[in-house]
Amino acid sequence: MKWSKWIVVALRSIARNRLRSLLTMLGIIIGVGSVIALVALGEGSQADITGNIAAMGTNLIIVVPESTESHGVRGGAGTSSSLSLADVEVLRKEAKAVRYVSAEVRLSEQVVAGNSNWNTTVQGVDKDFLLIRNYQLAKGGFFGEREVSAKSKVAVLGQTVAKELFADQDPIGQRIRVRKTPFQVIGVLAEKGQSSMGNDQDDIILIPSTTALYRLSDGKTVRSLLASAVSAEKISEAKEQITAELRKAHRLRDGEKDDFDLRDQSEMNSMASQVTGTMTLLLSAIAGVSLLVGGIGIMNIMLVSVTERTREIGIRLAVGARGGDILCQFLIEAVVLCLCGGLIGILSGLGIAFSLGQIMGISVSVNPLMIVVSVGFTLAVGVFFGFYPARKAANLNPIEALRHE
Amino acid sequence: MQPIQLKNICKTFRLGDTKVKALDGVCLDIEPGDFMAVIGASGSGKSTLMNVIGCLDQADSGSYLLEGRPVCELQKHQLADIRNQRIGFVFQGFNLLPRTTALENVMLPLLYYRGELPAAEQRQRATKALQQVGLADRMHHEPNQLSGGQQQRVAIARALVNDPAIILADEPTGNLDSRTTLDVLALFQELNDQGITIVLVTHETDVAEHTRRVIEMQDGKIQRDFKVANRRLALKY
Ligand SMILES: Nc1ncnc2c1ncn2[C@@H]1O[C@H](COP(=O)(O)OP(=O)(O)OP(=O)(O)O)[C@@H](O)[C@H]1O
Ligand SMILES: [Mg+2]
Repeated sequence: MKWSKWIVVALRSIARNRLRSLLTMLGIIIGVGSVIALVALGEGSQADITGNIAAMGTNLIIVVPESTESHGVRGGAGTSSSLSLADVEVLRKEAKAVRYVSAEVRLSEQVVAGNSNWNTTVQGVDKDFLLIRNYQLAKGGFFGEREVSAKSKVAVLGQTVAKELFADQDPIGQRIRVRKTPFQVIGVLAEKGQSSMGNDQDDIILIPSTTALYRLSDGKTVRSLLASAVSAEKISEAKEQITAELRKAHRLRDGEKDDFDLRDQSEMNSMASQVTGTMTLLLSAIAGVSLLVGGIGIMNIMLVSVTERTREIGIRLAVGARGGDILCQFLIEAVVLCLCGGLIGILSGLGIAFSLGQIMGISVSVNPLMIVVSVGFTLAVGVFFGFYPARKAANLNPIEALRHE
Repeated sequence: MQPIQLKNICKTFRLGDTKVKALDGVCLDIEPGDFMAVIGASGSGKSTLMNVIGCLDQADSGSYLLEGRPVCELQKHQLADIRNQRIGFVFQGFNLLPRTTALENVMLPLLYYRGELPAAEQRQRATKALQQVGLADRMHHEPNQLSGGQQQRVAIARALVNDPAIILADEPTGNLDSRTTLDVLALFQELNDQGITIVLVTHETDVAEHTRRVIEMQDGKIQRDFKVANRRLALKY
């Protein structure tokens, strides 16, 4: 007999048993929806973090001073206690596997331009900083070697700072003051957005490292050195060279511990993926539990209605339905319910993922495999518990089915 | 050809250790066009007999020829088709689909009719069957909105809708007042006059007097089998 007819019968039966259909679908929606939402958010934020680490720079190696505590233990051995601008020169000359080096001096300052003022990070860097950190210029230029050695009072603004201080005006050529020192704006950076930690990478002012060190602070505190290896393969070689050169420059004897520490992106990545891995595991566990809860919900509803449905099957058999007719109807019913529920689940899961992602500033990564797995699982549960009892009932003789309790 | 021939039909129900012989060697021939009443005490096996005749349940032993076909040897789907096309069955407990209108309940057998039957004709036939039992004005009510007697009449209409050759009715008037009972009996007599074979179970001698033949069951056996001498005619009110 025609399938279209059984589809109509199945749809009518779904409409007739609205509450049961709804509850069944609810189980599916909850299961599928939560899996999709959780996985999309988990994978999205993971992708965000890896993306951000990559965006931090090309083949980036960060050199930071060894923590003062370990220094305290060793006591004043007469070696340099922090990184200096001289180290930049040494690395630039001697470390062959390093392409660019820049010092980084960070100051938190109030910046004034005309009537507006803004609290931001003023960062003293060298000429290759943009290349190392993957910043682009939107307007104007950047300072070079000359400005750095002359301790020039020039500044390049991040987008946020430019907007806060100058609104719609063109900042190029304008003056700003940092701690009473006037600077001339020579460039504006292109927008870079939020970092993985959620801070605004455009809320920044770049000035020459020497200017920051000698005009704005005590001349000692170089926060870190940023180095860019020639290529990804050369990162470990570059690290070895940096270690060797800095030990030489800092006059460390054999057996003495390094007074600095190196980090590269692969280490940052593995650190981050440890964190996000735990999070993903947690999210997957929650998703798995909700899928299970959804599945049990479906199972419950289906099993509770078996008695009623068996009687219905008995009636249908008694008036001349063949076993096959019953199976068609129930199979279609189960599949329609599961697919409708699955579809609503997918849509609501994605909806939740995208709106939460928007609110929390996480990107959302849709994993088609998870969609297939979750829909497949609920389909299996729904069809098994919707169809299997029906199959059993359809094999009874009508009187047995009618007497079912 | 005799529509119904039962030979030595036995049916035993087992409940734990106790066995109930619901049918114990029943032999019964029913002529085409006969109108027969089955009477007997409660638990004497009347419903079981009807279920076997209606191909709803299978006998443990014995042979059953329905319109010349050996029912015991037929396959499930063949039995389904017989129930669908040859037999109209009225259950003692109505067995209507819940949350389904009277009209749709009556249309149910037509849904499984193997052949072309346009939706409009299905509806028309179901409407006519409901009119015959006097429920034209309750077509769109669901079972829980109908009285017991009305539900029983929906069940009767459902048995009529497929123009069966045999109508099997298990206490079709059990829930009806005397006036509606007479209406249903008049309908049955009318259908019987058209050549349809009817078997009904009843507890009321009144009802049995409207048929042509009566058998009395006792402990799964046919105790008495006699022709009704002066058949009463039910006139429709
Ligand atoms: N499914 C069953 N399981 C066990 N015993 C059954 C079953 N069906 C019927 N019986 C038993 O078979 C016997 C005959 O039952 P049946 O329903 O045929 O009686 P009946 O004559 O129709 O009675 P009533 O007038 O009350 O409807 C009864 O003793 C009943 O308990
Ligand atoms: Mg009975």
